[in-house]
Amino acid sequence: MNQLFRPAANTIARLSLLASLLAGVVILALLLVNDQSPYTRASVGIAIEQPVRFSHKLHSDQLNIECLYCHATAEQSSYGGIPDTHTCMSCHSQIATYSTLLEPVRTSYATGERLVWEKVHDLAEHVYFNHSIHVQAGFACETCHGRVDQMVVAWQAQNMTMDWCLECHWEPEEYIRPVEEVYTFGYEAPEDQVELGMQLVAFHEIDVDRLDSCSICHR
Amino acid sequence: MMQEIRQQTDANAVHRDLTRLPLDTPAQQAEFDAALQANLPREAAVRRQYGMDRRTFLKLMGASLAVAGFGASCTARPPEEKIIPYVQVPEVMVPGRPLFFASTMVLGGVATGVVIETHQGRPTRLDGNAEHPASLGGSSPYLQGAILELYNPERSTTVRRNGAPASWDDFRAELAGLSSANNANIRILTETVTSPTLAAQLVALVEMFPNARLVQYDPVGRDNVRAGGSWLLIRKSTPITVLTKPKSSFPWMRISSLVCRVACATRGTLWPATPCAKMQTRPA
Repeated sequence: MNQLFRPAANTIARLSLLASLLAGVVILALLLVNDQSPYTRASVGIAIEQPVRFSHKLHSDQLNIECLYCHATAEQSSYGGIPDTHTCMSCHSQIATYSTLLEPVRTSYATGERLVWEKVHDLAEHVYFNHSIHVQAGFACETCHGRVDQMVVAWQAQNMTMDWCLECHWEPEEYIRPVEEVYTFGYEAPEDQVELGMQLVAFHEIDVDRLDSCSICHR
Repeated sequence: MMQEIRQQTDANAVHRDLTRLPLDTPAQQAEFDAALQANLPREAAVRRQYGMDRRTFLKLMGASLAVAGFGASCTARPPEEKIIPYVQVPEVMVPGRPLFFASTMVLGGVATGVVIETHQGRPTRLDGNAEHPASLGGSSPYLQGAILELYNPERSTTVRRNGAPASWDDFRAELAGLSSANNANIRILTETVTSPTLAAQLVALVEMFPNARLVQYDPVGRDNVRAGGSWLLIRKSTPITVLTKPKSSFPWMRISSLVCRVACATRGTLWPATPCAKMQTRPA
């Protein structure tokens, strides 16, 4: 009977052992890169096209409309809130009534069909986030959502990974603002941010030791 | 017997030898094919039919599994999701926060006051209504389970005619057609009805059609309880367990329950249960 393996097989076997070890390392590295990459994690910095060409820059920056006018539930609910068609039409029944950009909104208003927006901030399903508690304690829209007032088409500003959340949950005094500055864009932190932050954290009775307990976010 | 074992061993030996044949050159493969045909004709037929033997198949399967696993891990990008807001948010609703509705749940003809938690119009939980005497805020397995009934695909959401969806107009037309023929044999099947409004409506309907009959049926009814109550008190009656303040009024009193579970005796209701829960209970 023929020999099944030639002498070269020894070398090949050793090489393939080494190669498989290397492949394991490469695969692990790729998975890590994949996990952290803005492309796979979330579309950070990628403007997402919407069915209606709504400009935050126009409405928020130029017209100075309060965030809460449209995102009405941010102070009361876990859900920040996307405006219903009637909210759009409360102004646009009077302003820019014939604008072609508003055609989908008018159609929705006339037919009762809901508008379908693309979700820009898609938090993982296993994370519980409550807008009202953050907003009411003095954490600004800008801190997580970036300069929305400068965005013509909205995009996600932060990667929303767990370590990003924890940056603030470990040191809320670095990011907290007086409540009246929550809706301010382009806010410049005062020189004594940490000192002031400590006071605000104490004022809002934020228990920093409990902020990184698992069940705060993963319930 | 020995014959069979020998054959089996021979077959195993053949298989072992065949698996050791090299397959590196076309000539070796042809040799293998011939050996296979000679010894294991059935496997040779499979190899001819699919152009692939077990070895190649396993090799390809392994490779494709590895590729699929790697591919899947690299396209872990979350699926794009939509946000679909209301056209007009209902006035009292704050999206993201629950809304509670007071209602009643009827079980075996007994109504219990409940509070229903809803999220964006979808009920998620039933609990007793603290302000309703029949539940006093307590809950029961029937109450907890009732939420599933609301999503039961068997639950009819519309009028049906011979199983097909119809409308109330169809129903009225059908009824109007019947009233001309005076002797319509209508049978109305219901659960136990204790609602005075519904009872009055049913009576009015039965009066319209002399031959109509009303049939009440519960899968697990309280007919025996009712019969017992009627036997005990002569007139038709249903016993109701009331256990409020037994201790303070009758400090010597002990309650012993045989067969009947006092706390759930009136199945739909919870009024015996809440004081019961406050009492010291000793399992039977």
